[in-house]
Amino acid sequence: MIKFILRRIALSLPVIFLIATTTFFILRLAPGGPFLSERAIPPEIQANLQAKYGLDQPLWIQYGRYLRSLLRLDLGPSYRYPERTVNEIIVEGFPVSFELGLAALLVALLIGVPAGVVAAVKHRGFLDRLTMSVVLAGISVPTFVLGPLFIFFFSLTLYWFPPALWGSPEQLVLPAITLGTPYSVYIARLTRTEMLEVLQQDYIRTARAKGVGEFRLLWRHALNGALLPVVSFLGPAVADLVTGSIVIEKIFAIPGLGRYFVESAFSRDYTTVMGTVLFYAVLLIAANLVVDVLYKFLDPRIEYR
Amino acid sequence: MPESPVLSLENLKTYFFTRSGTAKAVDGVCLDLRKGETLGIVGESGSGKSVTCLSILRLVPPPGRIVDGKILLEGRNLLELSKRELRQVRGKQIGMVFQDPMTSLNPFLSIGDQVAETLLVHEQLSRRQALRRAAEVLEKVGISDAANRLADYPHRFSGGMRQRVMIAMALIGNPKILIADEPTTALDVTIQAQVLELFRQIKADFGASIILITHNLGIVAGMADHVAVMYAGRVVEYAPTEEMFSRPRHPYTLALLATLPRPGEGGNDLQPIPGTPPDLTRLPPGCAFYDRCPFHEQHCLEEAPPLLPVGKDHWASCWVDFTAGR
Amino acid sequence: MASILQTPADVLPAALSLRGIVYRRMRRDPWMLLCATVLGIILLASLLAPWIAPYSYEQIDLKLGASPPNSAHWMGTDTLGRDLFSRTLYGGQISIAVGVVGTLVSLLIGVLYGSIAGYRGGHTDEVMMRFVDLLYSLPYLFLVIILLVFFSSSILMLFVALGLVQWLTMARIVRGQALSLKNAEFVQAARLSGTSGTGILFRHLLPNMLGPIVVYATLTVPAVILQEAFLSFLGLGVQPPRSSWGTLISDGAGVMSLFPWLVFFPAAILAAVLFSLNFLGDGLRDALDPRLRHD
Repeated sequence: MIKFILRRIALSLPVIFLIATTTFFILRLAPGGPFLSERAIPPEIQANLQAKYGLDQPLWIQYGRYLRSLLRLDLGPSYRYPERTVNEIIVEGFPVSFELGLAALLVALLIGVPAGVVAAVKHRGFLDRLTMSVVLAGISVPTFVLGPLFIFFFSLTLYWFPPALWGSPEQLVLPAITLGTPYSVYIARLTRTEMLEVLQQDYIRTARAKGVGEFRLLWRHALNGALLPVVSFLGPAVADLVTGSIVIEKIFAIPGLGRYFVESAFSRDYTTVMGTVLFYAVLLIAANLVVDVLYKFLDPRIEYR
Repeated sequence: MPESPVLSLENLKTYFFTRSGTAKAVDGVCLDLRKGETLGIVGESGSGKSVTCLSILRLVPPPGRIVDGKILLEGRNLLELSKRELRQVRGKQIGMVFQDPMTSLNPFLSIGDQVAETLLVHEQLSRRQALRRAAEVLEKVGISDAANRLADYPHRFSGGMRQRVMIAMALIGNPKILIADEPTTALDVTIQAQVLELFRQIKADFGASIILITHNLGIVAGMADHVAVMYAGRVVEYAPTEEMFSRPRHPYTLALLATLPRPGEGGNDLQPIPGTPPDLTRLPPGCAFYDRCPFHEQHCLEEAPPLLPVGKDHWASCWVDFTAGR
Repeated sequence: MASILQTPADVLPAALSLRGIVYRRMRRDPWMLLCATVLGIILLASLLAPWIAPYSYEQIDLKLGASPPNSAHWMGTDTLGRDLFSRTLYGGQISIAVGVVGTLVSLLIGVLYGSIAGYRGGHTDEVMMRFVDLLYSLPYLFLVIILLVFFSSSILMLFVALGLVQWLTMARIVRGQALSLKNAEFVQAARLSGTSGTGILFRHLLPNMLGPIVVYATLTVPAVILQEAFLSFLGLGVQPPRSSWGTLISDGAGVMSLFPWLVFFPAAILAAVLFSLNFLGDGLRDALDPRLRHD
């Protein structure tokens, strides 16, 4: 088990290096720069700034310096917020995004799994068709339509929840539901397909022949097998939640990492952009690793070596 | 008959409503299972023997449906039971062993939990008590050191061992009837013999009546008291095992017997049955075996023969008495 | 029991052509027909925008400003007084083009990659699919955002960037198909008779994988359209005065409490298109999936 995890971590290191290198050169080869923006800065100040951050050095020296600081887990100073480092920005913004993502994932699972199970059990029945239509409608409405719609109804019309900002639990509700809905839809679909498959298995018939009731049949015998693919979907889902979070944070004015990323991208804040991308890459690789470990834990057929 | 049967099927009809037509998988089966006896049901795949057994516990998967008939368990018609009452019968009164032990055990549950579940569902027992009973029964069906293997998952067991687990699962509720649907087909030959031996022992120890489904007449010969031969959804012959082997009265039974290797005669004269079983969605009005029957007459084409007594406790459905000429 | 169901007539659907399956499905499921019709109307209207649209997409009328739907402007006008109906039609051209071209790019990469991995099999397959697994765990859209911000948010860049995001799943599907097809008798026969690798790929494998590929492509188009809208919402999609459904929704969402029709119409159209494509794709997938095909 430990060996498996260590092997996976070792395999990820070159990937992270690759991402660092690719983003570094994409950013530097692109026209423009952090201090060449619309505001007219006097040339001497510009030169000073360039020198301060080492941007006047040859590219490969900058690259080497960046890699060296990466080894110390130092993502460098932010160009946009001169008094802060990228590490500080991530430490500040990520917990917010994380809380939002976790709440959304919970929403997705709590809606998606029961909906999928009901649809599968009532296969081709009215409830199946209803659930699946809702599911398709759910995929077809983008989050950035859903978000404003929720704000419009639940905040501006019904005054149930605050429309924006962050901090209190009520402020978590709307963003989490908005972000979680599309994934609940995917999870419902996946659960349904897998459940249909599992319900045809011979061992389900065996359980019936023993006199097992319908509820116990679903809960004890079918759900475990049907949820394995859902678990493995959670890895990529984390990636989607992370990107989805960018839009949600914009709509609800939430000070999360996604917003920092977009803002720093627009202002060509190299270090913050790279830092965030690298951070998310590591996060996603870690999330996939956790999912794989969880999967092995849930499936008794896979034995650790 | 001296004693009323434990289980009797009366005119059972189970049809599959597929897009390409209605397949009459079981079409008017009448059978009796007597107390303490073993009944062998023999036929090719598609003859309706498996569906008959699934029908008994009402486990026929859609698009199949039992459309007519009675299934009487000690006089009680199972087809009229509510789902709740039916669950009381499943596992408790009738235990079932399925064909493929590789797919019939839940890979996500430990075998202890799976065997004990039958008890947990039917009796007021704690999980610990149920597991202890499970270990006892597993030991009885030949799994050594069962108490320590309760927590193992099915993939740790070989095919033969899994079939023993299946049998333990069917026996733990002390059912009156044990139905075994080709219990040895998926197993290696040596393992087959062991499992059959186990069934013989069960019959002695548990006193259950057994329905043994197989396509192999050889297995029936050593195990069953009575044999029913099925063809195209119907019972075509029913007789005590000895009688069936010595004096078959249906051409299909005769053909089946000819496919068996006989000791001392070498393997050269094994006779495959020519032709293929009929399409169950388009059964002819006459005898379903007509096309493949060497003795057929004009009358066979016009009217399907009913199951009629042809001797003591011996029934067959054939218009022609091919034994008369010999 | 399975043997009972395997009457020749039941096995037949597998042999039917893709067109046959589509046709049969449509006839049995009126909802699919409805979806196809809705989709067809919206597509056609968008393509014919230069002839149908009552106004140009950039014609500003500041005096008029935002006005609710009326007889002159069926969907009302936006804050600059531009006709929303015309802008939605022209926006459709862009959204659909992005969806189709993005899907084609993903098809090109995914099918080639997947069929090579599946056909070669063994070690090559292992390495290639490992790579796909790794890419799966990347924050893809972040890279797309970087590309669009730091280079240019031209439509061409959008096509490529979105196609690059979508090819992974296609590669996996095609690879699975190729893997199962490569041992089929007709492929083996072709190999024995000396057909080259590329020959087998194009003449034998691809034609037989067409069903799943088409189905998945049907499901990719809405995903790409959605992603374009997502990027537009962040200000990275099509640049004004041009519009896509995404930019229209994005603009409308900002002023939703004041002028709700500005978000309603484009969102409804986008939702209708996405729903139809998803519904059709789902239906086709069910029809082709032998596991689910037993009614």
